[in-house]
Amino acid sequence: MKNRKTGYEAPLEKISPARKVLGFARDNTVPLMFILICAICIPLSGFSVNYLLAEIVTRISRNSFLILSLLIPIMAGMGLNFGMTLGAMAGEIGLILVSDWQIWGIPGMVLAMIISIPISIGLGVLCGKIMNMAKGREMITGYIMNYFINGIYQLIVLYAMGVVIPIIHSSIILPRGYGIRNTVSLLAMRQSLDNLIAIRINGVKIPVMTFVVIALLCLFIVWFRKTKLGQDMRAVGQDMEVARAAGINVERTRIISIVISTVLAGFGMIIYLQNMGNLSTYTAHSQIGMFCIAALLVGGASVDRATIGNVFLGVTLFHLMFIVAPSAGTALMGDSMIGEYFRVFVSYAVITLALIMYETKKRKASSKAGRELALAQKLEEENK
Amino acid sequence: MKISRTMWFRIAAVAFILLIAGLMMIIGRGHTIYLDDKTLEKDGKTWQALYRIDASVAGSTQEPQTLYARERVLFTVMGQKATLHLQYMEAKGGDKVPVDVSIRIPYGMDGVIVNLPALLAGESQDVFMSEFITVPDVGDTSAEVVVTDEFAVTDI
Repeated sequence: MKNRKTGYEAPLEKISPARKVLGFARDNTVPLMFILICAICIPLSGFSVNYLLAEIVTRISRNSFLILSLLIPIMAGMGLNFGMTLGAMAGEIGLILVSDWQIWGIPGMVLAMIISIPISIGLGVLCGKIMNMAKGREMITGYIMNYFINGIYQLIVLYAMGVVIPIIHSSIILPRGYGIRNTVSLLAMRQSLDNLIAIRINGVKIPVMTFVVIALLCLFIVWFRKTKLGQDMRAVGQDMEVARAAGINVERTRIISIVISTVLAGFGMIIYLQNMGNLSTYTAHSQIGMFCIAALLVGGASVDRATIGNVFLGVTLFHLMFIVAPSAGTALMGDSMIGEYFRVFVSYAVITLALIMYETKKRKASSKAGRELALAQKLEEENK
Repeated sequence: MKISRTMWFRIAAVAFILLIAGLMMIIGRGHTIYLDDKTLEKDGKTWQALYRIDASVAGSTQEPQTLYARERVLFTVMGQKATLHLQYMEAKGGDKVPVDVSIRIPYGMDGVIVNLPALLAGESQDVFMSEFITVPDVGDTSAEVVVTDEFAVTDI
């Protein structure tokens, strides 16, 4: 309904069901797109429901903790934390050390987590401080910082380990006497958390203990949102200037959010790698941030809003696509590599699409706000 | 200098985490036990290999294993104490004798060789246990090329 005087739409317009559906589709473009891709690819892949379920359960248990670590910085308005890769590196260093010390199973995982904490905190503080210097450009800053810290990680792992940091086992150290091998076997702790309490339903293995750990993190996030610090983060996320005026130490709050995310990412990486059973020393962390962010966006999250529900929907849809794409590619083109490229291309594409949509929405919102302000000013002038 | 209550809590938290780390290092230390059914000669004494031994380790997820004379099997255990469930037969057609033995594995040893004939003869740990030393392969110094390609297409 249009205002007769101004020609602008009235703010309290009755929305028709068709527009509601259209609005819903616009707000959930990425998840709907993925549901469509999966709906096409699943029959083509020829996989049984049981196989798909087993794979999805494994991948949810493997990846959810890592993806959940992204939620807190989003709450603090720092966008998608590409800096989570730093935590993943800290987790890997912990795993390399415990593998060399021959600490196995759950104790090995716990020790690796404890070792990763100070490294993650240090890297998180550094990342947070740099992000505070680049407010509004946190994502690209975090992304580039990964390359910087990755260089330091490689320097430590490739040259310092075995020389400065004692590494004694020949299965871990390179034959030249220093540096870590391309792959470190985690066989001694492989699926130790997953198998701690595991049940089988119709041949599908449910790693109950891993899900308990993930549920605890979900509860922590829900609880944390209600704490003073959580409220501060939300206030900072909504408007930094207003939060500062309210007496919140904005910079400190932002650093804490990144530190929490980095520490959780370190834990998540350890849970992820114990499921895999081996560690690709130089490449395991490099794409983890990208894939976690893509999964979160697939679940319907955006740069400024993400929920626990988005994590689970995202990990399910994104990994379903990952599982079925190669077989669907083979069925369609006779070449499984098509599917391999497709799933990597889709991961990058979904991030690009989500960022474009976020920017478009932001511009639309700001233009709407501008229009409303102009309307209000016009009405005020007319009333005078 | 007076330490604030918050600082005390922080110190206690760090101490608690370090305590857990220490505990994990003790209870999670993995060892490989190589059980040998071989004739052992030491200090002028000889312990003859037995015909057959069925062995398992308490708390291990590994299946029980059977050794005949001159054979070796291995078990992996966590912690410094391992209880071996053994059932031995001195000669073919003889009686199976069940024995449970607990051994302490030194923390610093990744792998230990346990000579079962000496162990079953009731000898001391110095006699039946020795360290298993892995000889690193020095012939392949150029064998492994480090790959640091972060753009590699991988599954997740």
